[in-house]
Amino acid sequence: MGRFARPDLRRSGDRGRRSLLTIEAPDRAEDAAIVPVKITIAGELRRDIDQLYFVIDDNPSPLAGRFVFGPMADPGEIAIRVRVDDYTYLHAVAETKAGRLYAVARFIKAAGGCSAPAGKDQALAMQRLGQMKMTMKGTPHLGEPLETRLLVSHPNSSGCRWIR
Amino acid sequence: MESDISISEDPSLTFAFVPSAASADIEAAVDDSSNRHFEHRWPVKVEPGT
Repeated sequence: MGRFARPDLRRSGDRGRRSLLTIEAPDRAEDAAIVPVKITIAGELRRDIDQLYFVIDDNPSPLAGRFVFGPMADPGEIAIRVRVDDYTYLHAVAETKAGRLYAVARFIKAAGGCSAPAGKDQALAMQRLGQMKMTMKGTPHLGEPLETRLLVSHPNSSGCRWIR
Repeated sequence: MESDISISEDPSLTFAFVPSAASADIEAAVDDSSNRHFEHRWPVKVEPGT
């Protein structure tokens, strides 16, 4: 997905739309194997979004994430940790229910995230494989967005692998 | 919310949802590229009086 062919693609920085879609990431990653990325969706795009794509241009498998928002989701913010293989652009592309596309890009300096060794003992990692923890920030209230964090124990060693 | 993600070791996903019932479950179902499937369910109880 190096170039976007859709003529209706709108850069989120165009015509005052800068704040509709933003990517937060470090300018230079401390650890390229666990780079924190936050994507913020605002304004009418928050209401109209259907899907969000996250692309890391120079990773072996550039499409790093696709998020489909259901009726109970609040798409205001998505935060993930990704592997980044080289100095590259990150792209977030939002698709609305009407099929309109919005995009934003950000350059990041990071290298070697896909070849970084596992951070812990592989046997221990496999023992904990699939364990999950869900943390909710605050008390749930009807009709109010609740920030939630899902942690999954998984070595994810194929996170950057070419899949044919 | 449904997602396909290729992310780091011990992946973390932060998102938000809007509770629409007094009591319900939130479920996470994860499939990896080795065809392993994991799922877990957590109860969500909305604070009384809200």
